[in-house]
Amino acid sequence: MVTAVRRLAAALVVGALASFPAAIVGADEPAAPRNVDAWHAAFAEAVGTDLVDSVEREWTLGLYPNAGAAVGAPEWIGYQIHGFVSLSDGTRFSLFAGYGYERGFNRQSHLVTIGWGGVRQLSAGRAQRGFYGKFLRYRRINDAEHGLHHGLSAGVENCVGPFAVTVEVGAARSADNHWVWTAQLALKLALPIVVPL
Amino acid sequence: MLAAAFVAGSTPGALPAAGDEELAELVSRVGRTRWTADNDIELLADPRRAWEARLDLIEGAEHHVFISTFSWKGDDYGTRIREVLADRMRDRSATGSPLTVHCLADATAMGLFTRGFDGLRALGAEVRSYNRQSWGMAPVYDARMHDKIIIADGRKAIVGGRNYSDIYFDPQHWWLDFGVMVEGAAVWDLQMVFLKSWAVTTDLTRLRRIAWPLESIRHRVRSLWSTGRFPDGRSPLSPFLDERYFPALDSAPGGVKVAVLYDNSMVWDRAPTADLLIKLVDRAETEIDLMTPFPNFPAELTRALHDAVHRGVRVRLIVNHRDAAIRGGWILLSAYPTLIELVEAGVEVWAWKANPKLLEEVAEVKCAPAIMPPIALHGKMVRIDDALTIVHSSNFNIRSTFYNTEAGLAVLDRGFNARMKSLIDGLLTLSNFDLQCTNGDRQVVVDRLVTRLGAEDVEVMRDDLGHSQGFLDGMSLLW
Repeated sequence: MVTAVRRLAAALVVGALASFPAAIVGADEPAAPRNVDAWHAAFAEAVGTDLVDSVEREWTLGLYPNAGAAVGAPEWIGYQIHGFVSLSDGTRFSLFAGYGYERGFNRQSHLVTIGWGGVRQLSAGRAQRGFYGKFLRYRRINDAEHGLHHGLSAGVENCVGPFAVTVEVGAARSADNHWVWTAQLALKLALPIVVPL
Repeated sequence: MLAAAFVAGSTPGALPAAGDEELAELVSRVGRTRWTADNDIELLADPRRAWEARLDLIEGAEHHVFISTFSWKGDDYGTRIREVLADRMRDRSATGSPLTVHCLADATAMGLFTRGFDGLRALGAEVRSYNRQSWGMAPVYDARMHDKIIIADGRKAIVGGRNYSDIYFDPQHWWLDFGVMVEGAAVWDLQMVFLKSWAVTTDLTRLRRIAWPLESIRHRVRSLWSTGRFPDGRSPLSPFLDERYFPALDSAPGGVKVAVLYDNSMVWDRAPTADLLIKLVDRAETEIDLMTPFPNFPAELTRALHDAVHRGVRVRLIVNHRDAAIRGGWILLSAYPTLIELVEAGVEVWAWKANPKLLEEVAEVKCAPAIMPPIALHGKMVRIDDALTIVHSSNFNIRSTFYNTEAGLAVLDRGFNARMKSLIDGLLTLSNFDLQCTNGDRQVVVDRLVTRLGAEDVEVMRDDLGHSQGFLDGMSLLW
């Protein structure tokens, strides 16, 4: 029976390795970097192609209908329906805007949203789309007790395939100085659609 | 001249094949890297040596230590490496030449309010979290830092698959992993990667990030990576480009050709390493060994491995058995479609089973072995034919291909390749041996630790998978 030491040693061969003669790659050994431009020029030359692919400007329109349940203030539990439109040039910016409606036991809200981000192609086991955006939201909240509130909130929307989640915080005030806070997590189903322009 | 260089110092059977220059060119072009010659390298597979090498690196550092990692836990080894760093910083401060220490760990693994690095920070070390998710400033699927690099003085570095916690270094309870210690010009390229990651981290933690769309962030990072400058012309690298951080090499430390491989989804839509691996598999002539703990490969890689087998190439894929899986649930299941396809294609899929009862047996007879067999595999390695070997942090899966930062080394050296082959051969035949106890005549016999997956395993995987493949494919960017 072979001992553990011998078998493990065979399996875990470590130590100094025999070197192999130079010149397979045929390039001179690089010098220590001293100048940022010279170093990157030398590196790109050695790579033989662009180190980073250039990104072409490609305008894309996105449609993003979604609906689901919102948990947290002001309704504690309610439903939300949204429709967003996004626009991206694929290189520098993306923005989106949309309208939504939220209803709970005591309040109903009209939601107007604008933000950075939009529908995007996601890489995964199969091709699919998603959405990511940071937003500012105007909330027009109709409260049964204190009437109309106007408010602002900020949040983030994430979507992978048909599953979306939104986090949002903010506040709204009525004419009689009544405040309604927003601190909400929404779990939704979505249909991100890309429309190439 | 070229032939003479090969003859000098070469060993029988080690002559380069005619295609080596073409292979080197392929690695460089597709892997977006360059070759450096004259490096000295050491494969770090044994957890004890992997630990010692890190201690040696830190305790020998005189000017700076740079570390990037995915996770850095507060357990025994995770704490000890911080203490070693702190001790070295104190020693250097006492000499009047303080040690500069920069630590970078992924934000998801660091925790928002971790106090584990307070001691290092108090001594002057800078510790940062890469791409913090807090307050939703990044998408849920966004880039995570998964590369693991440690650099000392711009002269020596270790790169591979180990993070900082007990499971990578404790010889009694460990995951098999690989790393390469390198000394030579390749260290400069690794250090340039680290410095760019450091600059990106700084850039992404600024409050104005809130106002940046993802496209704008990617534009900045791509500019930095390709030119060393942000779009406004400012270079965060310039302060480091001097003799202190990049010392000239006095002499060639060795003669090994090494190329640094690096992936970052903010720079490339697909990881250059993934594209390179597919090309390498496509051109393999005799054999391919590939090890990863998470084999949910992109479809192109699975297809390339499938085709290689049909060309007559011997393909060995070494993964964890479901009984020894590092992660269960959806992460485990997500690899099943790949494994099923490859087993059915004729790929030798070897699964590390470990032996859950072994620990109990060892405790029962009070055996104290110097080292236990690994309980799982965490190594990421590719060996192509007899010349090229890649040791990496990349799992070669969906996350590594499209989302994570990853770093590794391509080594064009027949000696290194042969040693990796003997290591893999040894692992796959590791069975029925006496676990030598260091405390007397006690005996523990270890049964077979690895098994080749076959038709029965495919049936089990199909049953486990059920109808969830569509969901798993769709969500595969999360695991």
